[in-house]
Amino acid sequence: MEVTGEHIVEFEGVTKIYKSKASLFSRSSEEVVALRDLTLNIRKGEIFGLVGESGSGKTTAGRLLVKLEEPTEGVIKLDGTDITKLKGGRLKEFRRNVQMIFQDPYQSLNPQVSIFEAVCEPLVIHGIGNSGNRKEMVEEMLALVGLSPPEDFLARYPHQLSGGQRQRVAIARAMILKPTMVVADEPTSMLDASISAQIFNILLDMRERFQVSILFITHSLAAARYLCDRLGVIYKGSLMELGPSGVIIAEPRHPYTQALIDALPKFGQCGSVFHYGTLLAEERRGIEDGEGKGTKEFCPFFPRCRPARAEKCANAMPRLENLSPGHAIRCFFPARPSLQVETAGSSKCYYGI
Amino acid sequence: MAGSVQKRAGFKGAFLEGWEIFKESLLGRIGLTLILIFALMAVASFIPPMIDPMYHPMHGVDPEISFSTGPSLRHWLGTDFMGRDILSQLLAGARVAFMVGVSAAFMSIFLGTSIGMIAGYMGKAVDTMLMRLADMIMVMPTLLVVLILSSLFGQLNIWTIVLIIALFRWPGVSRVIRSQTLSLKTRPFIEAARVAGASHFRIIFRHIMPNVLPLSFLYMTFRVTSAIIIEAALAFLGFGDPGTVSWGMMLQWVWKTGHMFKAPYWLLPPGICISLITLSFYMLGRAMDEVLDPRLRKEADAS
Ligand SMILES: Nc1ncnc2c1ncn2[C@@H]1O[C@H](COP(=O)(O)OP(=O)(O)OP(=O)(O)O)[C@@H](O)[C@H]1O
Ligand code: SF4
Ligand SMILES: [Mg+2]
Repeated sequence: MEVTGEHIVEFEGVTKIYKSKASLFSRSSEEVVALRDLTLNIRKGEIFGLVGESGSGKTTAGRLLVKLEEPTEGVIKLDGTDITKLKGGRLKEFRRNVQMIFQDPYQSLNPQVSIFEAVCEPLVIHGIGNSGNRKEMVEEMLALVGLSPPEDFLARYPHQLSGGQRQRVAIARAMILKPTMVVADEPTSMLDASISAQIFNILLDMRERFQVSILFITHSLAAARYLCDRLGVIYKGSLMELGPSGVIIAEPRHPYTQALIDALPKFGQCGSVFHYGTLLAEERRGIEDGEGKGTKEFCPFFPRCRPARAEKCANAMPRLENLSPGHAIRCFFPARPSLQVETAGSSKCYYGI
Repeated sequence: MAGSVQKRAGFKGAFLEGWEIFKESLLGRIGLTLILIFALMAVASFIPPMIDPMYHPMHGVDPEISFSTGPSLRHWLGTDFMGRDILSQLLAGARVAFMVGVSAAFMSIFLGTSIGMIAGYMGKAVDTMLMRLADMIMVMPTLLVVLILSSLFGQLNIWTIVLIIALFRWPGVSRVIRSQTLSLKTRPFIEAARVAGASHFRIIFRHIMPNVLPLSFLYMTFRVTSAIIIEAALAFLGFGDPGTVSWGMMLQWVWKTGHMFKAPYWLLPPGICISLITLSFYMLGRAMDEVLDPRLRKEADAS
């Protein structure tokens, strides 16, 4: 299917701050900036990957998009409409168009609800079909996610399925409404590698079949490269690099992305593969708990960034700027591209998923 | 890990699994046996009046006896002060105990479960309001309230008493169900239902309720116990429904007519029955607790 230029989702300056309640002992309430000024678009029919280490705010972005949370600041648009103010019928329509596949298939299915009921529930909620043809629709969808013969699964309960099978059920449940946008939050992080590959193929098939756009959240660049058309690399809530996935993997320009590539497990003849070495073994101290805490602007990657220069990086937040059309990074000192191209793409070396 | 949490599923599977554990419990077996015996008594209470109207627990009077007599062939447990058969009164008392215990418990559990789920799920102002209400009711002693009400409105009908007990005994249940709901609320399958567009009503009754219901049933057994005790106490103090023969009422007759220390055949049966039936529901509850407890712990581990 074609990825068109049209945007289905637009994040415009989205910030999400979690406030933990003031406890008995500390008067001031702690604030966690989970997402800072996120601006990005997802195109129709595209699989957009959001990559970053644990706690970087990926899930937060996904939860904002499916309206499980509300942004503290900024606007999120679906098909051009601001979703933050939806109510009543419009909200219900939104709920029909945007679905989510959760990280943990052991937790995302109600243990007391059979597979048939679980997959059928969205149809019931949105009044699609009738008691006669819903069963057919459910069976059809179960077959599409590779649970065959589907009749065998209808009466089962989640505990009678393997993790991979449960995740397939979760995908069937998400896809049965034929949504236009699906958020898949690390759908395979609880599964082993061979099952993961099957799940990825199901997602690709779903995109092909239903022209659904997918926000694919992962901590693995390799999984993202396999699946995604474009990637966003996020660190501590800030989008660091944005571009076509091939380009980002082959020619990462942000020190943090480069560090992520370094961390990938590699197979084959990798002796000659370039190692960026942009990650400091030990964090720079002082900047986050020095004086003026919370007010001072600095690059979030500064404490761990080797190429950083303190006079700049510790005193201002770099802006997300285009290097070439469609490829942007947030860094004062983008690495020279020529440096990596010659060595990074050895054909005999593979990144593991 | 998460996998172990999901062992139960569906009511049938959960029930069978629970029954396996329950069967192993001595307390549970004794409790259940006693309850069955009392249930048989309640059913049997319809028989004596059919044999002879003089065995009617309320209106039947043996024409040849006008004072309390001990056990005899004609009256196996003897008669009360006006010649009514004590055994048929005892059987009728079992019927009343079940009626009061089960219906009051059922109503208070129904209220407590609904209110607990709504408070826990809705949170914020609704939660605060409902829980303050629960606190207020919880500190009011039920017995005292019913006593005051019946001294204001005269003798209360048995169903009114049941209703009052139910209205005053839900807060404890609602607190437990609320905290269970709070932990369920953040579970991904609830969020998955929200994303699918499920209404609050659907989430509460379709997704939360099946997961808290086992706990509600557990509390129901304890509520049966307390309802029976409250009714017995009321009746003994003379505030029971004068139209029913409950065990508390029998004790009150023993006391009022001055037979307390003269007629053990009359005093002991209702006294023992009250103790045993409350004990048996309590034992049933404890056994159910054992069934549920490891699961609750497992769920706590997972979240
Ligand atoms: N409900 C919440 N309350 C307070 N802080 C939160 C909440 N949810 C997330 N956070 C914080 O926001 C930050 C981003 O969390 P998020 O779950 O989005 O990260 P993530 O990239 O998905 O990480 P992971 O790979 O571990 O899933 C973290 O620091 C986290 O502690
Ligand atoms: S701005 Fe400075 S600290 Fe931040 S990534 Fe670039 S070089 Fe590193
Ligand atoms: Mg996450």
